[in-house]
Amino acid sequence: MRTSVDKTLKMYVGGKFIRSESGRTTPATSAKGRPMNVAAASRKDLRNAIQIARGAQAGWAGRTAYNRGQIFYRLAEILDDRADGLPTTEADTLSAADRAVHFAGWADKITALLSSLNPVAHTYVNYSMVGPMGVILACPDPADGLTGMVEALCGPLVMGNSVIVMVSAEQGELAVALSEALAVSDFPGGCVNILTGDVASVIGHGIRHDDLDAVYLLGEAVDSSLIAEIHTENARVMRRFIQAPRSTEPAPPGRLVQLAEVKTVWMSSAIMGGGGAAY
Amino acid sequence: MTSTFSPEAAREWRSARVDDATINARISRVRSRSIKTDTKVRLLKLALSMIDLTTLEGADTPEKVRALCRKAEQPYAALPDLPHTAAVCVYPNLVPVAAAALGADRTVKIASVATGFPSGHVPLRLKLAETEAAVAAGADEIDMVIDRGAFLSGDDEKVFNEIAAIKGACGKARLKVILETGELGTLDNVAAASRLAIAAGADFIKTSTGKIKPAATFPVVLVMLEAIREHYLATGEMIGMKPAGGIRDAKTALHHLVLVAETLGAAWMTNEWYRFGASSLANDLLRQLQRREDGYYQSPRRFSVD
Repeated sequence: MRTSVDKTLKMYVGGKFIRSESGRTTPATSAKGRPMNVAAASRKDLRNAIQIARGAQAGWAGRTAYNRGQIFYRLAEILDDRADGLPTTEADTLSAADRAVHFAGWADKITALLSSLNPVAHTYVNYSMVGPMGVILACPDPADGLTGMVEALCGPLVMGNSVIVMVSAEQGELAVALSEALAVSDFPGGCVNILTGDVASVIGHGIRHDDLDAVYLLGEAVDSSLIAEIHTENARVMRRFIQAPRSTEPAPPGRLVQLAEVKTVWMSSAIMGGGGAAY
Repeated sequence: MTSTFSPEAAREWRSARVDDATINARISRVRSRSIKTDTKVRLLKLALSMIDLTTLEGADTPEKVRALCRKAEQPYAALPDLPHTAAVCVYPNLVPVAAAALGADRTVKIASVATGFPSGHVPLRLKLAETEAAVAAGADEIDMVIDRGAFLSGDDEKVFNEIAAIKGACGKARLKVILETGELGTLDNVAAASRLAIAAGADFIKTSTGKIKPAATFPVVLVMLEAIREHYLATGEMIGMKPAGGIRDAKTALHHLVLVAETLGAAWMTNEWYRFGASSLANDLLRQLQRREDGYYQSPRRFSVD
């Protein structure tokens, strides 16, 4: 008879698998019915993750769009390979892989689609470009399983942000499975991070941390009293709050633009070629 | 007061044997300390008041130094009751700029590096001239570097005589002696260099220039504090300590304060006897203090880029 291999699951931050600095864990049950312990992210874990995500963001956004697309595709390859082994249904894993392919396709097209040369009625040129916002805290609907998690991280990432995905302890095993796929997908350490634990309390801390640029909630990730609180705290620092439906469909461009910062540039053209100008 | 070198004393300095295991055990005990609430606020403010706000770059401009001086006088406009930093630390050429910015009745002191910082590989007469120029321009404190090449080749007499000569050139300015521990190799050497610098007339001993890694690591700081304690127990004379380089966050600074409190006692818990050589540390202290004030964890983007 084998000795049972009892598991204490880890979180994925800065490209490393870590336990909570608090040492706290939450008991949960694995897909195979075995008891296990899931790391419970503390306030400080979130602070550390924000700091690491902030540091990694420019490097991720600085990669070529083509390279970012390749990395999303690599995630799809790995999820596809592991389709029958992850602690969720095969259909869920395959749908998550499809979602990664979907965003791999967007990576080198979305900026061109959302940026524009704007119509003007005077002597200037005006154009708008989308760029990353910074660090986004994302939270999938638990009912959407692995697909929901992949959706929650791909949207912010494809726009050049770094992302911290918050997952409940009940889904800790699936979060670790996804982390293990991310870890070998060539995502630079820190641009995507996964924390597990009490979702509401971590989001509650997140909205009191001024270095967080946006909160991205999908489906029924949290209850309405927390949503009211997020609105209140976000108004204080002008932080964006993106509420989206469940992840049955991938994020449309209209939502991706909300996960980005639009920069508009005005350039005078009055002198160039104007009456009597030298050129 | 002039100190004279004696080979017997040098043999004693060099006889230091530091037990790494004991040092590490003491450090890990200090590093696990957690300081909360009111005590934390008090120590954060104390740490802020101990900072030598430093800029030592080739790209330093007069305006950068003026900005640094303003920040030293009032670290954060949103919290006007905070203490000012102990000093600003600049290159000799920029001392007149700092002196003009801070004024004659300044509360923030001006420290200047000298003696061919950071390598120290220039002739003694140039080191003396640089020191005299910095003092004449208004420096209250001189941060000199020792000649590590001479120290590592065993020429203690040269290192000693240089420190003693610079001490003479300082006049009323206090002398901080930078050992550049990252280049000394072993803790035994750190202990020996600390003893040597103290015997030669250092008012402060300082870990590093900030140009070499590792800089102010905890084991090195503890060994230097022990050298100060040894000197105090033997003579009753206090020597100051300045860890510099690599201290970037508030928690590390608080642990350094714990270390000095436990090793030397409360008498050293003032900016007269203890300094942090740092630039980015100030912002992290301010961030923590602001967090205590309004309950929100601040973005580093809300603080000045120094």
